[in-house]
Amino acid sequence: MSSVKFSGLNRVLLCAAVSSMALSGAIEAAQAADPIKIGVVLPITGPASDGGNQEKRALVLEVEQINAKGGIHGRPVELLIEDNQAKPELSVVAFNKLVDLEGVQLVVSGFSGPVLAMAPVATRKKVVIINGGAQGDKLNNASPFLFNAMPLVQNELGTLADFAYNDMHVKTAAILFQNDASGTPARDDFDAAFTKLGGKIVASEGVPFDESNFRAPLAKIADAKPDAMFVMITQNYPQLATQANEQKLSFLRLANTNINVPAAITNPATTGFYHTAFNLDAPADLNAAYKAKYGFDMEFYARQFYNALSVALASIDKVVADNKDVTGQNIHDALLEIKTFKGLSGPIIFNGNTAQMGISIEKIENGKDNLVKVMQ
Amino acid sequence: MLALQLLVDGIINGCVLGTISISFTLIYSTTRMFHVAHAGVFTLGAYFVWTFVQAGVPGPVAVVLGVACCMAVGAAIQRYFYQPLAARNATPLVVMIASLGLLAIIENGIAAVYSQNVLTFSEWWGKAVVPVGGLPITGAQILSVVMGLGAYAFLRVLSQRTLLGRKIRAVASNPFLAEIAQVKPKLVYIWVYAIGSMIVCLPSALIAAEFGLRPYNGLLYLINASIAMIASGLGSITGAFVVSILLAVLQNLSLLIVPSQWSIGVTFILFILLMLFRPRGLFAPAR
Amino acid sequence: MDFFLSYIILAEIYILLALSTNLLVGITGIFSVSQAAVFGVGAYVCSSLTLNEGWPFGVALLAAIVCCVVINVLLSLPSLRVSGDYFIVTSFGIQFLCTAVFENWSSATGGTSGLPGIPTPQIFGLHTEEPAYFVWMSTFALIIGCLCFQLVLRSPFGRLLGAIREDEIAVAAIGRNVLRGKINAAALSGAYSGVAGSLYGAFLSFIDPSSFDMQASILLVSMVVVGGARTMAGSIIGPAFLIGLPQLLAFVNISSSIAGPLRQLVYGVLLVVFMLFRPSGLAGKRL
Repeated sequence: MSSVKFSGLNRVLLCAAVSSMALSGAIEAAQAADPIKIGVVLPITGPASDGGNQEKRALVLEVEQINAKGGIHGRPVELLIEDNQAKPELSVVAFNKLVDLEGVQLVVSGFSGPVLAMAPVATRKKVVIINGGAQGDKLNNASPFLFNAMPLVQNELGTLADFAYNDMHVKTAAILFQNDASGTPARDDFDAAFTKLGGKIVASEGVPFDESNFRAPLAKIADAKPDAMFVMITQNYPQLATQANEQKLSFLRLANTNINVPAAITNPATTGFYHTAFNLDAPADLNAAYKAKYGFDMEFYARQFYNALSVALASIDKVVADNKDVTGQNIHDALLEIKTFKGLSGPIIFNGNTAQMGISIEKIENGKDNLVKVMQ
Repeated sequence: MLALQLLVDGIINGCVLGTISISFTLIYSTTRMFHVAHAGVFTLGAYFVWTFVQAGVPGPVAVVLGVACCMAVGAAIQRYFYQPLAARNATPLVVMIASLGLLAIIENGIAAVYSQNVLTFSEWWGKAVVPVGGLPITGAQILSVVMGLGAYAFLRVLSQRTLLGRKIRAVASNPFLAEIAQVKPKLVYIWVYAIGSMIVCLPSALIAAEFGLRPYNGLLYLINASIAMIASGLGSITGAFVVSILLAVLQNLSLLIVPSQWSIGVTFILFILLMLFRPRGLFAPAR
Repeated sequence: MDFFLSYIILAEIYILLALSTNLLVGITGIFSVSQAAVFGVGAYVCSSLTLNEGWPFGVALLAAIVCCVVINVLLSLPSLRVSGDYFIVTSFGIQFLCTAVFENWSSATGGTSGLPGIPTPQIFGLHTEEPAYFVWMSTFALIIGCLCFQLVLRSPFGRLLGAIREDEIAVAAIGRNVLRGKINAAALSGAYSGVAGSLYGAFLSFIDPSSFDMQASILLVSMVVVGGARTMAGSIIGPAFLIGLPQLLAFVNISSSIAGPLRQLVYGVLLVVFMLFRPSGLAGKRL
């Protein structure tokens, strides 16, 4: 209570002191020194830190860029990065720390488990979470304050199953999935969508995260003689494709957007893979800036998180422009009001809490992606 | 056909696992120290070889140099890590936890120097496919079998036919008596660590050449290898090697009944049951 | 201040777990590296009963305690047959097996995606979703836990457990029942895990297998060891220190991709230094 009185008194004193000056000018000047704090909760250490650091790099670059342009209406943006090791309990501690100690009103995060653990706290505290990369279906209704900047796996794999069944006339399919929070929803969603269309899943084999020896599960899948194999892993596509080629597996190969990394596409072994892709290429100048700063091309999740932070910044921009307080509730309202955001290479549309983006089907041939079809 | 393919693949994997297992068995049966950091030496081996290859050293020479480096690391760990612990009368529990700490240091040291990303070797002849009896087998897989049998034969000859081997066996069966007989257990321990670390470099390099280098995946290999050692009844190189192959084959053949994601569970449940009903291992004489 | 409260609540939960691990590892000498699995059983049982069956928290908590007692006794059974390093490897196996069950038995555990939306308990009509209320509940549980722990330490039962650790055969020789002693210790340790698991699920309202994996088990053992085995103070200091450590290390700013591995490396160094120079931990007794 006392703090409210104090700030009220402060304002009175301020008004008295600056009565001779232009009032609006004074407030703007006071605000200029006041940075907009954006919290980031990502795995900077631990087994998932490869992705976390990729994402962090993009966020750091984007904030540098916006501050170089003078910030948001003159207010600099400050990133407060917390390491959660991709663990739910550390995420909740980090989230509370950002909100309580720093007064953060918006947190950028990723990874299903951590986001699902923070979601109830976000609802209670009315703080917005922008989920940049996790695609688990349970994220859709986890919290009104949670926005998923990437379409969930359901939408993506429904599209892929549709393409396989209707365009490629696949009647039986096998699934090779990574047995973790990203892989099992993909397995279930592809299974459901494909079965609903009338297809049949003849084999479903799980491998651990970062597995690179797929020979035994591939042999088992080959034995089931499917028309196509759908693969959902997060890395090691070249090894998978090489081992499939060793066994001369002739069925159609399908993958989701995870295969969309240079290491996988440029490897000759992955020729023949059909996969989904989001319209998410980095413009040349952005990629150049990224390369100048870090020494390599912008990775997939770096691009995705660049997009996610753009959504956040645009929403905060509107809140500030409308002369409202930068609170979670106001950011939330602004985001839903803007609805359509400019992404790196295509619009990002929020008709609810989850973004919609254009999905295309690509075929990998000789180290390059070739567009097969744009799906809606 | 599927069963045959899984069986052959299992035997090949078993040879790789067996090589790790016999290197660990040599160390454990002699020193009775649960050297968890062996997983770190295992990981380090491939990074040594990779570094030499990057520096332009031809492949086989790089492997020899890597083996030598691992040998030095192993000897240094015994001399400067376990000996001070032993001097302080550390209990097996303390040794084990210290070893876990050392593993964390090695793994994260590698990650800090080489990054956490997967590194790969360039093309080599091991990636070519040689159809053997209708099954697609790669050069690397053939090399795995050769390596496994070679390492096994080497350790057998070392232990049975050489003076060092006799000393090792003497220290393993009774360090105090061995000391009286002018065998210096401390020196023998250093040799044992050097040889064990030397051998473990080979499967490490081979796995890396086929599947890439990673800083954090040594522990699972080591646990499988120590399960093979314990299930065999401990102490016997032959037992550890045979059970490693059995274990890998079993893990593969379990796919005929259960989906892949359960295969690791199947092996562990069989091991736990074995420990409950035949705790002295498969090949140990009944008490 | 929800940040400090949520830190305190988590620390209290981990202190309960450290007491559980201390009972088994420190006091009785059953060196289990699968205590996170038992913690997981408690969390899954309580959470799914409140979430899917609509049970009140108190009843679900009791059910979780019963399940954990049974599971922990079952998992400790191999320690009656095998000891020392054999049991360590067996318990590694148990840990991997339990992780496989948590990940793959999707209908009960939600699989790898976890269980979101676990209801927070209502105690005497108070909604405990606010950390300010929840902290009363976890503190209450912790006080009861600490009291029991002190009582056990000082009771004849506690002395029997200590004697079992020192010399099992001597205990059997003077006619005391080793089997019953070990089973009772495992049961009590399981009860602690059951309470901790239930509180964990209720506080986070989300659980997934990553909180109950091998790394978590090793962390629990490290907490006991760094804090100090066989004392209550050790089990309080250890978790408080190791949970706070990442926060402390965050102040050391190394702004590049090697920061992550380096922080983990510090953790390894810590274990090694403690084992070398102070194996009794910060506030414990000889291990």
